[in-house]
Amino acid sequence: MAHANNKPNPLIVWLFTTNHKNVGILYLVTSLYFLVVAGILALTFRMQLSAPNMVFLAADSYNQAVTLHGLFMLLWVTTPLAAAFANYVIPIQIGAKDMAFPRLNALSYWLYLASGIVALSSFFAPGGTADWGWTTYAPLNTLQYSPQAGGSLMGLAILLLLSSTIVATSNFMVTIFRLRAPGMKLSYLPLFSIFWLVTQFLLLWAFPAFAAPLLMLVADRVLGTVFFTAAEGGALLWDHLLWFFGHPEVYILVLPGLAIAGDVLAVFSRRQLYAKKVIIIAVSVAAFLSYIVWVHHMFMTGIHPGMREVFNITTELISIPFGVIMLSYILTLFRGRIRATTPFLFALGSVILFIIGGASGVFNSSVALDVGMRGTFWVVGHFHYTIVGGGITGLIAGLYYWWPKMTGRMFSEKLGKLHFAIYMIGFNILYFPMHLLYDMPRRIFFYDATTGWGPINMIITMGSLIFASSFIILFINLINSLRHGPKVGDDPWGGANYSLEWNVPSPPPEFNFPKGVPVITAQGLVFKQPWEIKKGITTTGGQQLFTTTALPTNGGSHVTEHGEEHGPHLSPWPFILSIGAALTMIGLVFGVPLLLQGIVIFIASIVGWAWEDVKEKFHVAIEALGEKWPFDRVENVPLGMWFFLFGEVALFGPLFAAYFFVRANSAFTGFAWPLPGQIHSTVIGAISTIILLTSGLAASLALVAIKNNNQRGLRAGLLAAFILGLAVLVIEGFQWAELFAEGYTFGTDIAASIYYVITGIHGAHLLAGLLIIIYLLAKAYKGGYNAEKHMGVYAFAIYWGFVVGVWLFTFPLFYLI
Amino acid sequence: MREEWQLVAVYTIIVAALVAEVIVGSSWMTLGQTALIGVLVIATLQAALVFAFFMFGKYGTRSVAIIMLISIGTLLPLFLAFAFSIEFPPHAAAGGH
Repeated sequence: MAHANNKPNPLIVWLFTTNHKNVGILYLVTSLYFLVVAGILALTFRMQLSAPNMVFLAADSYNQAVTLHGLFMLLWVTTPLAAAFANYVIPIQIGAKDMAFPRLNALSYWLYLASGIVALSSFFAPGGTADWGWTTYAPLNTLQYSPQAGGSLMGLAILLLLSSTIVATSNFMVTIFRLRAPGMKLSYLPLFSIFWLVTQFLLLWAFPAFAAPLLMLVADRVLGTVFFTAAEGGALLWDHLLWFFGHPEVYILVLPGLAIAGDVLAVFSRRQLYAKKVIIIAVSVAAFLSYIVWVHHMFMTGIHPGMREVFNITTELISIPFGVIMLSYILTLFRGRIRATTPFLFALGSVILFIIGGASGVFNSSVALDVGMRGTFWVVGHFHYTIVGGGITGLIAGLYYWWPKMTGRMFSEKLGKLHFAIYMIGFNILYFPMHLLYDMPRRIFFYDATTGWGPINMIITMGSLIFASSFIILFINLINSLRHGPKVGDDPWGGANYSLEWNVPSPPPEFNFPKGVPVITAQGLVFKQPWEIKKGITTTGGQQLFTTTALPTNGGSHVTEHGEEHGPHLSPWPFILSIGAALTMIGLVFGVPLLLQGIVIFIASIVGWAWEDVKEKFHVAIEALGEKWPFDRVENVPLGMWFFLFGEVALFGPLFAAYFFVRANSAFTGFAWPLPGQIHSTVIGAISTIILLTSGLAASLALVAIKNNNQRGLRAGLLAAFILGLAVLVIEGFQWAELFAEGYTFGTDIAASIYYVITGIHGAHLLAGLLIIIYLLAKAYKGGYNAEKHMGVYAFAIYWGFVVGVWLFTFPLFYLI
Repeated sequence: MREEWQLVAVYTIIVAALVAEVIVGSSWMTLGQTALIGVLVIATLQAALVFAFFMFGKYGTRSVAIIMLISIGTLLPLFLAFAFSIEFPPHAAAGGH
């Protein structure tokens, strides 16, 4: 595993790294690779549409290419590309040495890569991959219309990706909230860090909410439940759950790029961001509104007319905060001393394209216009202007902006500007004419000459080729820069007064700040040693880091290494665990042997991870030395658990909403919902509830015991929680077995489907909790907890309480009413 | 009161509420919709107690409680949208709407 000189093999370093900068680079390379894949897929279906009567792709191949292009761009390219920058620069921008949970950070990446590989492998499944479009509308997503195994595999791949995102979200939340440098208030952060935090809140509630319908879909396809096939659930159930995630997803895609654009515009116009606090308020308002606009995607579904009016208004409202943000950006440029570098040009391009996309979006919010334009190429043009134009163009600005920081080398400005010119020309030839095709349905693969759509489609396809070629220039420029680019110093752009990353070497060393801990004082940025901060020898508060006048970037500090002891920044378990997870997913579709291998590797990696923890082999001192508002009193581990559970609310909530919908709807569909006690025994349900409640009490008592340094109490409490939790799981298992024996299976009816899915997911949470207890017990028996050090137990008590809380709703819904 | 006894007291209250819930739920023939509402109210109160004590929410910062409330609040529009969708189910033609 190591060379003779004790330096780890580079391959091992990349596979086992947990350093946020390495993880960021891995995200960058992988997301760019998936961008190329998705781009090539787009070119294939653009060729098919380039002329009337074209025969380039078969119907199925066309559908699959469109589906994978959409899913990859939305899920595997745009947000992960933003995550690449977030991983690399946010810990530096906030003044931290790494992410709060480095191994979970690595796990997020490897699960992301694994999910991408599973998704791509679905192409090679018999019958091909998913062919239902990225929206995965029911009933197209059912086995009846898409019987190919690749479709199921795609569903599982997305679930894997969602799990990666949920882990990453909790990690970023804790990192930004609790690891900021002394004096670094949230409002002092660059726009990218602030917007990324807002994006994390969107991800926190949107992605688990998407996991709910996906779990139902996978259950339909793999287990035979009937959510989207039965008349009781069906299309509207999917529509609501998809778009409840889908609209916040738009802002998840756009906000990071727009944030980068704002930062870059400020740095290269040598001005403060105009009305930064107003921008922060505006983006928060937009994030809030993003949860109450989704029905505008469903105006044509026949929903209640009153809902159409309400969502028409909320959709129009959301244009206001974005208008404010765009206005602030433009005013930032006003009287600025502008340097038209490549990052600046892309940032400016992002703003212009987003404004065009936003303007066409206002039309779409109108119910009347939506009736005419729904499902046409007008909509395709609109959302590409916003997501690609606003989001991805901003991310490319970020790529150029941070490239010198990440590599220590400058790129060619000439090639960069050539890239920009061709990018903008290609983009507008590609997407603007789509607005003229407001009468062409977007989901057809073939048309004849009488439609008159041929010439415009030919222009669009030419535009796509120009647009694609611009990326070749990008890659040539970057590769050339790596080999021959001139070396740069700490601050090649003159951004040292704007954000912290320009105050450290390019590329930064392992723990980012070789001069000491950055401290924001009334006099500006200084570096101090950790012991000085612990002793309170620091001045916090003071002025905003970003000013128009130069700050003493090293004033008052002396250059020293931190001198703290760290364990190796490497762990094999995130990588191995992702292999297990990927094999498990593939095995669920392709058979038991693969499934078993996956499960074995998965469990082994969890055991290995836990053992690494119990033996304290992985130790990276990530201390919270500075600002922690508003979570000063919640330590990192419990806070991470809290954020995870906020996401869990967004998983179980839509599941209960689905229950409510299918049950209430059964009155209209003629389905007779089972009477209380008809299927499930109330007595057994009540007994399970009491046992689980007692288990929750035991876990809480275990925490109280260790807070009082009572080791025996801790072990007894955990053991009792384990035994009682196991008892509930066993009872649940027996109930399932009994029902199956009676012929009441997954697909018996919609009531059975929702029962099995909710209790199944709850059971999986119980199982996970039991595994955590085993880990806690192992650590407790080794004396790993005491009155001062017990955050793992605290986090578990929170988790176990949540599992109990969910059951408190599950019990009455299925056993009582 | 020592923390342990406080937890035991809360546990007793939740179990008592469970008994009440079962009684109310089992009376759906006579109580009708009231039983449904009663059961859901009791479950919500139980969950609130679990959050406050078993999950130690009362010791956390106010921010944790606020974000938990927002997390639940984001779901409200979804429930409302579903409720309004039941009245106009376009896929229910077979069901005699």
